[in-house]
Amino acid sequence: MRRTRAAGSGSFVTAAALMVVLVLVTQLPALAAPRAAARGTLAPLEALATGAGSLVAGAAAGFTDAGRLRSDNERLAAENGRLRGRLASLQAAGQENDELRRALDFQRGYGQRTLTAQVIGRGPDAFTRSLSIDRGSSSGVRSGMIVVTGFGLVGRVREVAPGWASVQTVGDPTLRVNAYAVGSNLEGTVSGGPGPLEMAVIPRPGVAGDAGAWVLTSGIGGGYPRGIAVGRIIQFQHRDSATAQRAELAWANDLQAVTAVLVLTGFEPR
Amino acid sequence: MRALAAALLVTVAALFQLTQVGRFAAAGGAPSLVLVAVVCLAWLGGARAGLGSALGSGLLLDLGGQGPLGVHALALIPAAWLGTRGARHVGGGRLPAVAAVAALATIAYELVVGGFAETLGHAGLGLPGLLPALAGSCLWNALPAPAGLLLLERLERGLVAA
Repeated sequence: MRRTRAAGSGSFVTAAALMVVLVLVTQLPALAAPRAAARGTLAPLEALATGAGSLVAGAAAGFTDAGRLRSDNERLAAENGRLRGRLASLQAAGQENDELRRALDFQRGYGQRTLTAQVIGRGPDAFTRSLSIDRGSSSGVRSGMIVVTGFGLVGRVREVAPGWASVQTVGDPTLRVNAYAVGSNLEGTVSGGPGPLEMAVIPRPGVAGDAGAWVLTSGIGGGYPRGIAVGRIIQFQHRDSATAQRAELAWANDLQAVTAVLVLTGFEPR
Repeated sequence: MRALAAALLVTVAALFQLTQVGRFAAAGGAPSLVLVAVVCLAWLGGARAGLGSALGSGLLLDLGGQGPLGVHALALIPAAWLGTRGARHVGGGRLPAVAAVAALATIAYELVVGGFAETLGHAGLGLPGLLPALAGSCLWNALPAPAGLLLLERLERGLVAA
């Protein structure tokens, strides 16, 4: 019995050691391509499971009025997103004429060079703020490309396989987005976390961000096109003596509700 | 037959985890069907079944995530170990015990996943993101564990009868 227990514990330790080695080896940048290819093999199963889940949800909804309510809800959510996006554009445009030109430039690019993709998977745990999509390198998706919805910025492509790509979302703390607040024109960097998005604001004496103001990508650094909605300010922590100020943002997108995205194939991040 | 059923179960659980659970994750933590399945399989089937299901389902979760492979498989190994130990040492009151084991396994799982994200600087919330949601995640996994154990016992009896 004691020997069996020791042998059992030994196999756990051995397996753990092997997994540590696997983690350390597969994190090497040189293995990024095979790692992505391995991940791509799961995409058909994920797509199948996503489809099956939608079918089950649809069938369950069919028994009650939930189906009608669900479609109404989706329609209203889409309309709400469109209006929120429009409001952000209008607020920005109202500040300066220049803003309108940039917004139009973005709209042009946004309308012509995008690729629609279906969300087929989400992060496997509570910490990973990622999405898997059903388009990959065979559709022209490349690592670093920007991913959006009608509501605003989702994130950027991190790994790509022929029929699959993973998207690191704005909710991930390791992703940084240069942005500015409409109205105050305060600039800063947005990053994710366990709660709402946070914006580390570059302070300007006497200027504070307004709750409810939209925060858009600033385009500084060339990582993102200017003018994509990131979120709205919920709370702005302002102290004149502080060297840095923070704002809490409500993300323009709801990660749990995103089912389809647009990949900006026409924008080359620097 | 039993191994095949276990493999099918953890595959379905992992796919469900990757595609559906994220959509319904409530505030204050997220459930992990895979973790509950691993604990229950280890409880019923012992070290071999637990370890096999932990590695298999963990690698599937790794394929559905970002960053290096093996983190979730590693994080599920304590769940299998705790499930095996729990079954050996608990006499009566196994349903509350399996719930407690699922809660403990959740802590170990999240420490490993969050710790790796933090240490290696990979995408993810890391340890600071772990603490606020830890209690919620423990609860999410502890609550369905007894029902999962009863269900698996029934399935096992059905397989033996067949």
